[in-house]
Amino acid sequence: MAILARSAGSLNSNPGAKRGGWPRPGAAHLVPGGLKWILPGFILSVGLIYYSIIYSGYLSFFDWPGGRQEMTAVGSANYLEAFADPVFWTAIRNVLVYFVVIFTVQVVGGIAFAAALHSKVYLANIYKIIIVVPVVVAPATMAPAHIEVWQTNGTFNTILRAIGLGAWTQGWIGQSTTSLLVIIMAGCWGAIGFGFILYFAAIGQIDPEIIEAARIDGAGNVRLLASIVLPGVRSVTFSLGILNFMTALKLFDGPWLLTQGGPAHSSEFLGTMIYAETAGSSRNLGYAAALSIILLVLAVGVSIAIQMRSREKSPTGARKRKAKVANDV
Amino acid sequence: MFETRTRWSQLTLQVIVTIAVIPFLIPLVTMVSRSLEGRGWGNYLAVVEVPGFLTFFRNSAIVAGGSITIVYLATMAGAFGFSKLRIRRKELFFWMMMAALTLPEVVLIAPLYATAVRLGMMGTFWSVILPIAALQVPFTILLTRGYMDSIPDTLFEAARLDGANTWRFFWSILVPLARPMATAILILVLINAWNSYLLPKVFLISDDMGVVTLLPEFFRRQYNDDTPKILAAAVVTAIPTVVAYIALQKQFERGLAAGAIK
Amino acid sequence: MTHLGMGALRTRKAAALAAVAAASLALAACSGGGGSTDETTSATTGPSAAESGEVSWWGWTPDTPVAERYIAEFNKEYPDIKVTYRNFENVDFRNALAPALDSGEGPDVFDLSPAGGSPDTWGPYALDLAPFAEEVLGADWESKFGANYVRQLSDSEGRVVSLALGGMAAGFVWINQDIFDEAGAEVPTDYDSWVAACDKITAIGKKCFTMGAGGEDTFPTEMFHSVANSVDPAFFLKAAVGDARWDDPEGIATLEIFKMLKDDGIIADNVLDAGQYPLANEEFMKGEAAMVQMGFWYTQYSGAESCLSAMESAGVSNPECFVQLPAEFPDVAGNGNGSEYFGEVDYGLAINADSANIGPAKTFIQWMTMSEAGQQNVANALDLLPSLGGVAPNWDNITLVDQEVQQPAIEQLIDDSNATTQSRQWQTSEDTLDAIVLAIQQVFDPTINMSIEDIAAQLQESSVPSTVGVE
Repeated sequence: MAILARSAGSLNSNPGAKRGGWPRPGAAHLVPGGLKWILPGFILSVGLIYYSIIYSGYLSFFDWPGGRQEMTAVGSANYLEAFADPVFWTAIRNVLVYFVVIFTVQVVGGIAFAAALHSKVYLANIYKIIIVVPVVVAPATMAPAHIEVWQTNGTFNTILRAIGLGAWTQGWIGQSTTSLLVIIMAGCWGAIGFGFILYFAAIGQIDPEIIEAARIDGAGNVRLLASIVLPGVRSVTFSLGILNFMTALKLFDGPWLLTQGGPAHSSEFLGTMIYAETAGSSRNLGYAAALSIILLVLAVGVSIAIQMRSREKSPTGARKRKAKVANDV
Repeated sequence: MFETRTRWSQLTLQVIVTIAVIPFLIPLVTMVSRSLEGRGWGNYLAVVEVPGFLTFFRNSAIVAGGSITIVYLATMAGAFGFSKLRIRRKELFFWMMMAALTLPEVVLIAPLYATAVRLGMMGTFWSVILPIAALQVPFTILLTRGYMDSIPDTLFEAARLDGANTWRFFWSILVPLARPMATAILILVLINAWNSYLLPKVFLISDDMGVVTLLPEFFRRQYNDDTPKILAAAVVTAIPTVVAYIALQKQFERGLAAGAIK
Repeated sequence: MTHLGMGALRTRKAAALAAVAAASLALAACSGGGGSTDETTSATTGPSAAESGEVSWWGWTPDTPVAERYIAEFNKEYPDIKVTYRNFENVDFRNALAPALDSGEGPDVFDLSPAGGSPDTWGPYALDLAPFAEEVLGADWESKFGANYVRQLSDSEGRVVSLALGGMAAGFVWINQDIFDEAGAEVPTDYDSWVAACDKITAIGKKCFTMGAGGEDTFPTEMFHSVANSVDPAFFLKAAVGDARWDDPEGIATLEIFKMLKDDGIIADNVLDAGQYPLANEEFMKGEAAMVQMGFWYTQYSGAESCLSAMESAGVSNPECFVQLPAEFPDVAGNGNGSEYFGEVDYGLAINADSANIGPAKTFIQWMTMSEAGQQNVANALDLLPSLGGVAPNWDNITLVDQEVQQPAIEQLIDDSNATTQSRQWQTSEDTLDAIVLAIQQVFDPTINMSIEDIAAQLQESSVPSTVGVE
């Protein structure tokens, strides 16, 4: 045992543990030879997808209408065209707004519902199902329903009129100022359920003794949420952050089916721009590829940044405990 | 969680939650009610009468089953490797895998097509199963790794001391322990594989290889979509995933939660 | 340490392997998919028409039930050729067809339209069908087809890459005669009479004119073309090929008329909620609207049965058909120009040059596009104008909702449609079409405050003059 501990200790100087990424607390336990374990997954995803990434990278330096038509080398013209295109920046703005709103709603709504359904509420199981079914149903199939809700003579306007807010009715989908809102609302519909599932289980993992202790100390509901629940589910929050950002960058189904990026490109997203460029009849696949590469760079860059920031927040950059116990508060 | 000592506060909570849940119902109710317009239940009849209706379900099951199996194996092994074993430049590999998550599907079609042809996969379900699995694996490994992190390493050492090698530990101890997470992954991949539209559309060309997501297409005309029947088809398509979720709800929550927190 | 050493070696090897694999795959794909124009521009016509075999056919049109009817009729004459049709949504079609053709897995026959430069995009994959057409129809084969159809389906090198199946015309409106009767309104012929008719129609609680201009569909460009034609018949096509500017006075006048139509309530508030399909189609088919602008394909809903199924699809339970009639687009500019119709070939069938079934494919195409039997099918469907001249619908086999009133109107429409001299989308580039849709959306959107001049200027900037068909 002592021998094991010593050799494990020398393995501790593994530089990989301190470089970017999740630090391994006490690398003593790590057994070498892990490569063959990750290889299948790695080759599958990296092999199949990276080929597409490399292909896209290559393609982004050409103008190519597809099929057997000529590929013309244009250097970085596609990238410059993207940066000079106001629609591109509208799309970026939309992606960021979408991300911020969905993430916030997902966290707030998810935690709120999760906390509420952990309390004494009747019919809790039915509520859970209602909230979660949107996650399970394909976005493509829900689009007509969403349109019905938000169109000029739709459900939402009818409700506004019924509760006396008739002055607020407008053509939500058909106005460039509100088209993004419709897409965001449709996105929230599915996002809250997803957040709920994670947070519901995460809150269930918080040690009830800590909650009891806080109650005894006189903490109210809000205080409880802020000081105990929120930190306790921090890792869920950061996972959701990364996931939401990637999703927002790629987002296609919702905007395409609801507004196709309109009207007047007001609800354009990177995903819809890429699709339009790949699928339209006057298309430039090189331009689509350049947009994809920009997307990739943004995604990886921001994800790593989020990851690093998450590490900085922990006290020593290393997780202290591995057992399922709530954080120190 | 929330204190509801008085009847009054309990009632308030109940009412608030009920009102909060209503917006979730609206699109679902709209969808179902529209699917009953026109011919009413006849729309659902028309959906079921589509030639090859049952074949579509079988094919979707094949695609889902294949994807789930591959993702499960690759994820368990991969997460185990990332979480418990030492690998040089492990994080680099990890982030390379995460980068694979970023490509939109439509960009993958052309290169995947060329690959499929060269590997002789055209006309087989593999041309769809492998890309679907490849797109899921980074995310599932991300989740499962976190889950396995929370399984104490001391367990591993104890097993080693007892004479078990890495493989035994993986198979006999870790896999059973990771069952909740495996269930969560099963549901996630099932949903994604079941709802996959673009890949099957492009790769599964022959008539007897269609999947359920192509069912609504039967009611799309060049101009005049038969929207009620399309929605009926959508409802029918969604039922299996909803049923699966409800059935495995408990497992799902447990698995995902354990994975997401440290 | 051996562990360390081997681990490192394995890592490097694995990484190298992955890199090599990726690179070789990339190279392989590049050579396959790159843009070399192969020698498919051969002058040979391949094997001659065969009487047996299998043919696979891909297209975004017709709808599957219609295609199956065509195939059933075809099989009456050629029972030994098995044809399978696969339908795609417009956009999926492009996504699926290109990789399929590139990798040799493509269909034997596929649709090819004149719009958006398709003959040049798909031409390299297709056989030159001119020799075959000449074989079948004789030396003056070109004149047997509708005006300009052959030219519209030829690529820039003059190869006839697809044979016309049917033509399309647009620029008119369809009215619900029942609503007009109930409201006591008259079919409008100019702007003022349109306003008057709308007043009467809205008085009985119906919508006057339904239109959907949201999303990315290019239907709004037909309305633009119609309005422009009433301002100045030559303007639209001149601007499309760059001989005039979209922000010339005619263009500005056109956009201003759009604004007037919306401000005066002829075009409703929900115009940007969705595209022409489903919005306008559903409102018209539900019997809620009195007028809609649709092209010749809408004729089919005059049929007693198609009208019922169309109404059901729009969500009407127990539908009762109304009388649908074509009408000229009102002369909204009031310059006495009327508003000319426009039309061109809608699509044709192309043969994949790499196909292994060229023989039976030729037979199929010959029957569909160059035989009276095949073209009679097209005529009877009341969806396309037959591309082969001299084929009229067989009215004995067609039941309309109101035969007496609709048949002569439709016959007139067919004659007018066959006489169009302006093309529809053949000479308008995709970028221009998108720019026009954008401009219309900017005019309609109450939250956008651009002046008409600015909108027109932006339209001019984003448009790309077409070079198709320009000498």
